Amino acid sequence: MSPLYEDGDYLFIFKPFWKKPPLAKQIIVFNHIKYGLLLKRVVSVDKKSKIFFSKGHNSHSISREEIGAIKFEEIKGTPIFHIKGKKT
Amino acid sequence: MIHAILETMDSFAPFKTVKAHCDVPCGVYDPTTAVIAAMTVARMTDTILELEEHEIKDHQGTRDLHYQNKITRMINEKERSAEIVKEEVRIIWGDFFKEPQFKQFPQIHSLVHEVLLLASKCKQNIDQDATRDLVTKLNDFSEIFWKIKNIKFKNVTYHCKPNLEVILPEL
Repeated sequence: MSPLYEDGDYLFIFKPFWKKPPLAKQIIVFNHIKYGLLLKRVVSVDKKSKIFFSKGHNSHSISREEIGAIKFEEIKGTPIFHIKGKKT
Repeated sequence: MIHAILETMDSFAPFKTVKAHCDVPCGVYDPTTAVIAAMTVARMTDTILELEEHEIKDHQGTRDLHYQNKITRMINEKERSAEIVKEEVRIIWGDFFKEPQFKQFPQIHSLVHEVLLLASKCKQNIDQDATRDLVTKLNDFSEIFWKIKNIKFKNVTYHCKPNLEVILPEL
């Protein structure tokens, strides 16, 4: 997600208790079966199947095809505070 | 200030880490491995020729077991290093380069193909010229890579024989 988020930044994550479906363009943290906890931007949402697709912020991010469809239940939250680290 | 406080807290009770960007799992790309391997190919080719010359001059071309052991080891190393060149370049081309870089440097496809062909030529033959061409083409490849990374690079004489000119990053 560079340059929006860089290594060493701190994020406060909020998960709405009413489990709202994610919105397109929203940045969320979710658990991926292969890659672990990921921070990505939502590109499309299928409310019927309760899945969404996401992508990174730069051209070197793993593609939406590689990430695949993610179930809503894997969402851990959305960043509400972002504390940037020192520039390296 | 807030970051420093969080950093201190993090060191005592680590927060969960989220991966946010670049290729998972590593995203570590560097053509220097290929450059060193190409230098090894050039060096092995030179030593194979030197050994042959020495064998004819000083041992009447007997090519005994000692010679055969040496030449086999050199050929193996040349083969292995040329394969490293091919693998490293293929990985950077296939995983690191994406559409924007292809647009910026449209020559990259033919350049990669040339590097792969030259590495094969170095494997198939004892060809000094091909090893020099391989290093030159790899330098072109490295130059593009460091430009994309926005990292300064320099043309230096490599510190090991055959002391060819190579592109290395100014880190």
